[in-house]
Amino acid sequence: MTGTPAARGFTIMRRVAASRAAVFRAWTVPEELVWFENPGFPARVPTTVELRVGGQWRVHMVESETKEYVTGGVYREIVPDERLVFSHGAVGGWPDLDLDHLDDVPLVTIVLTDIDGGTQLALTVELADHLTEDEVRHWLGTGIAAGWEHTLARFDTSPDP
Amino acid sequence: MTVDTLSVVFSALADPTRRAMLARLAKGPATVGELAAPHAMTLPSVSRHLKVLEQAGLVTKGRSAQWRPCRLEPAPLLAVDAWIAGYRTFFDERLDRLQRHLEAVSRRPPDSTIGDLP
Repeated sequence: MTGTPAARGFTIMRRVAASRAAVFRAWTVPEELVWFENPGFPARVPTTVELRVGGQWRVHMVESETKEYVTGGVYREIVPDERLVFSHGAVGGWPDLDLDHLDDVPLVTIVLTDIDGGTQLALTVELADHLTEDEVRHWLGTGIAAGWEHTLARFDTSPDP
Repeated sequence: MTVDTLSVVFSALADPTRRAMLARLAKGPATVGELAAPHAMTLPSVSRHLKVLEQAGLVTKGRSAQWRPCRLEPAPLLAVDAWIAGYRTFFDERLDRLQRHLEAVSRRPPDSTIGDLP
């Protein structure tokens, strides 16, 4: 990167009291991915994971009785217990993902490293440089507006701090 | 700021040369020649990049000075930051839940865990 004033992505760091293998499983085993769903609104469609480069993972996200969408990703790089890279989105979901144009959606990179007492998780989200104005407009229009609405709606209902 | 305006700003930022120009302007006003200096490109193509940044409202050119210095306009960048923050919240919330999930998994008795802990 060039040290720009505006970010086109971000990194979130978390310390987790679990082994790298346990964190990797939590991201890649359908039964364990339950944490990705919205609290109090379990998925009505089973979570699926095809753990191979080019394979998809899909989680059914329910926001309320009437609002739901599918999210997940297409794997770009898999190093068991260490590193997971995926294009964020789902075909017909949020962000709406086209399998022939994976770089049009954000790229998520998860890196796991050993630390004292567990694992450090670094999650980085990046937008591709090559997006044309039309692609950005399409993606923002169909994806982020919806995603933001979902996120804001959650603040109203979530009992969590 | 509407989604359309935001997408124009995103599109303007989707280029390493333009981001480098903004990074230079973040340190202070500069002339077109000064902005062009670090890049291996002609003045007309630098001007084209500048025009994209101007149309996105990210850069203004001085009207009175003889050499019309370019200035950074930070307001559209704040809107992008706000958008990024909203997207970041989605993952922040997910990772909160992941931490709680893994704590619950590690508290399970060994004979009832899913899979095998090393």
